[in-house]
Amino acid sequence: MKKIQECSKAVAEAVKLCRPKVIAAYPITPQTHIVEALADLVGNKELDAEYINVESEHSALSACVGAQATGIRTFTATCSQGLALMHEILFVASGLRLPIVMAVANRALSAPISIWNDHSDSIAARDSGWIQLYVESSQEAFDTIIQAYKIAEKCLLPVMVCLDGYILSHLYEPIDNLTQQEVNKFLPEYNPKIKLDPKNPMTIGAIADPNYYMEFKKEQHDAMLNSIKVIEQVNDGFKKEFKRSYGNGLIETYNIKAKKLFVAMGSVCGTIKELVDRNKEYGLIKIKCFRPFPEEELKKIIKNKELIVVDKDISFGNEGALAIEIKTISGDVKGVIAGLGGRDITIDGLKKIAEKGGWLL
Amino acid sequence: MIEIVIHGLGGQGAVTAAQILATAAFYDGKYSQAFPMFGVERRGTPVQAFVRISDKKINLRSQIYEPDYNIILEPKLIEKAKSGRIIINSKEKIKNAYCFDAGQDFVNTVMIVVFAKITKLVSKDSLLKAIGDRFKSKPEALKKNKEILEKVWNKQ
Repeated sequence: MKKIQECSKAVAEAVKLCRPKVIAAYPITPQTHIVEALADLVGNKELDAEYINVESEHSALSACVGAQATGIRTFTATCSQGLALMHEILFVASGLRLPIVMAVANRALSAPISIWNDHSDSIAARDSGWIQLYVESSQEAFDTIIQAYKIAEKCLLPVMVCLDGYILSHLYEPIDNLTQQEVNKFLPEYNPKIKLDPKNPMTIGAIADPNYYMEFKKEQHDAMLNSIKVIEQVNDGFKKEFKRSYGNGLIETYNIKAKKLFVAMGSVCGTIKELVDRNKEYGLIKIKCFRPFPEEELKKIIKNKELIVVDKDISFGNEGALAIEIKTISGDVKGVIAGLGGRDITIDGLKKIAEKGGWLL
Repeated sequence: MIEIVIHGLGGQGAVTAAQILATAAFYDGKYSQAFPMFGVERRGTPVQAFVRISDKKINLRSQIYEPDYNIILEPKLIEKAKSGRIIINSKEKIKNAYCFDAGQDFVNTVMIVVFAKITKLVSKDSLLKAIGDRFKSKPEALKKNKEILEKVWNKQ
């Protein structure tokens, strides 16, 4: 059923439909309405879950790690300094191969203090072994949460669903909801083979000396690479079931025939689509999946194209994170840094910067 | 696509008004979006909220700089309107602006009803439904807002 609501609320409803048993979150800034709405759903018994109000984001993810290890679904959400504070535990979650799903309502990092949107927070967590999916709209945020659990549980990898803070988290727009029955069919009960159980005690994540550690990391890396196929399959399955999809689940293209292609992630892709509608000289490659990086899929479509890569982050002393990746597979790349700390990205701004690249100030 | 900016002071409900308008447009079968000017909102300081209404899916995510309409909840904020038509809460007549004395209560609701009535961009039925959604957990406010809708609509 179609309805109009705030994106954060839509994300909370998607989480509810996935039936997590534990939600752990730090309730204060930089938190969003996502966990507020989930607290309501648990409070009024629409969702049967343990809601743990913790004292920090470090504890929020730690609680999810412990809970998920007992064989149940969990959820948390954060962004900005909160994600930075979680950093240590991100690696524990992925190293233990726990399929936790987290929403990141992307926001800038201090200093100076900024509460506004950019991708610095999740990009800084790029190498933490989490799948990272960036969404463009409320609908995509809703759908991707549901897909994320399926992907995570098939690959035994945690997934971050990255949605732009404010631009999406505070946006009211129509979305097509799904019923509990529909989601139950798409995402069955979570029942992992290995779980902590007091009746059958075991240790997980114990020390791996130099004879073993590398094998664990190689397995983790291979699982990430293999997840590319799974992400495509889940996107296909979702399309078959609900008639909605986002490219091949990894990348989405818009007017790909154009010579000049923007490459971007998240909500700015919507603004670029509007630019393309007005000026067919341009096209768009939307990178939905940043980790694992869909290199082979990209190579097929970027031959002989002029690429304008828009990053909402900066790797100080180098370029934007996405531009760095794209430069490894194409020679014709202009990097654009835009939208840091909530600077609005307009169609005029994009047109202006497309010709020369650099900082859209 | 129609673009609207609502100017108000923190506490006047500019953001709520934007959400109600977008919801009403949605009930009219249109595509719509509403979002606040992102910032640290404080009571009494100028705030903006944005609305887009279209027959086609809306992809654009930037703020609105050249709106078709400005709905201004506080008279002194008229200087914020740089382009587009102006619908303003004002006792005194202002040149090139549609003025309506919104009184003291629920200025935001009054002004979007005025907007809906004169522009016909959202229907009365849908506005009523959107107000119903918004205040469903607050019966007192719901009653008051429905009364405002009828009163202002008929006064126009």
